[in-house]
Amino acid sequence: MGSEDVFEMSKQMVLLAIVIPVIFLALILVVALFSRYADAQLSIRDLQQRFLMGRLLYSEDCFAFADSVVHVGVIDLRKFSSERMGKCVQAEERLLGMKASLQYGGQQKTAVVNELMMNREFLCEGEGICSRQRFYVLVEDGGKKHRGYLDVEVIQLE
Amino acid sequence: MSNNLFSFGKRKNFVSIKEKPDVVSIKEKQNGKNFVVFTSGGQMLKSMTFNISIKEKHNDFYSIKKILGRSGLGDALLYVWALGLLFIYIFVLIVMTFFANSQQEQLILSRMEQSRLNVLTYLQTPVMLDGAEVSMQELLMGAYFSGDFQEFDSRTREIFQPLYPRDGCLTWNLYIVSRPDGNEVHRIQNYRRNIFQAEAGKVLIPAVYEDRSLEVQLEDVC
Repeated sequence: MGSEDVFEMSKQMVLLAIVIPVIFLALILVVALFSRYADAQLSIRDLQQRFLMGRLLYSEDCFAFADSVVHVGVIDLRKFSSERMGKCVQAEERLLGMKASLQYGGQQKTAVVNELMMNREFLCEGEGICSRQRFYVLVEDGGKKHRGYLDVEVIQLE
Repeated sequence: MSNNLFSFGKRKNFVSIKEKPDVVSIKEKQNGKNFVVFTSGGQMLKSMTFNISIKEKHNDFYSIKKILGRSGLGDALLYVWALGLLFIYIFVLIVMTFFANSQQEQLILSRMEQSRLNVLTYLQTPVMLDGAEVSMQELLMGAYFSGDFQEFDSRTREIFQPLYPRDGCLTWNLYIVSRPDGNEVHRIQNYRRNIFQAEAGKVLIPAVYEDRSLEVQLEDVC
C-alpha cells in the first residue's frame, strides 16, 4: 500500500467520521420535527368550560327564567344564588371553581362555587385551566326585564 | 564541456549519449585544459543516470504536488460546499424544531354558540320608543321597512359596546342579511378588516308580510 493510498484512506476516514454523525443528527432532527407536526391535540377542556358557562343561561335548573317556556339568556333574579349554581354545574365532587358576577341597573350580585378555588390566579398559567366569559343578559326582576352583563370565571383542575 | 553535457534533463539527449559512451571521454581529452571527470563512458553514464533520476524525481514531485494541490483544492471546495449546505439544512431544521408547535385544533362552535346566545338576548331586549315598549327585534323590523336604521344603530351600540372586549375579541360587527337571497340589508361595522373572523352567531327572524327572513349576524373581531 503506497503512501498515496494511505493518505486517501485516512482522508476518507476523517470525512466519514464527520459525515456519519452529521447525517444521524439530521435524521434525528427530521424525526423530531415531523413528530411535532404529527402530534395533534384536541383540547376539550375549553369546550367543557364554555358549555358549563352556557348552561347557566340555558337551563332552568340554573339561572334561566322559565314560565311556560324557558327564556334563554334571561336570568331569573330569584334563582341567582351560589347554592343553585353549585347544584347546576354539579361541582361537589369536582375540582371546579366558578364565580358569576351579574351587573344590572347599577347593581351587582355575585354567586360563587368552591370559593377556595377562586382568587387563585397562579393556577391559571396552564392552558385550558381557566376561562372567563362575558355575556349580555336580561334580568327578570318582579315582572320587569333589565339589561345586564354576566361575567363568569371558571377554574377547573381535574 | 560541451553544452550537450548540461542538457541531461532531457531523456532524448541521454539516450543519444548512452548510445555513444566514448564520445564524451574523447572530448575531454581534446580539450586538454579541463580535468577529466569521467575516466570512462560507463562511469559517466552511471553518474548521469543518477543525476537524471534525482532531477526527474524532483520534477515529478513538484508536478505531482501541483496536480495534487489543484485537485485537492477542488475536493476541499466541494466538501466545504457540501458541508455548508448540510449545516444550513441542519440549522433550518433546528430553527423549525424550536418554532414548530404541535397541531392544535380549536372548536369554534362553542364561540359561535356564545355569540348566538348574545344575539338571542339582544333581540329580546325591551326598548322604549315613542312611549311604547318594543323589543329590538321589532325595532329592526320597523327599521327594515322604513329604511331608517338610525335609532336601531344607536340602541344596538348601547347594548354591545359595554360587552367588548370579551374572550380575546376587541370589538364586534353586526350584519343584517336578507334570506334566502343573501343580500346585505344593513351593517354596523366597528372594524373594517378582521384579524381573525370567528364564525358569527346567527339568528333568523321571519319578515312579516314578506316571503323572506332577516338573518342577524354578530361577528366577533378578534
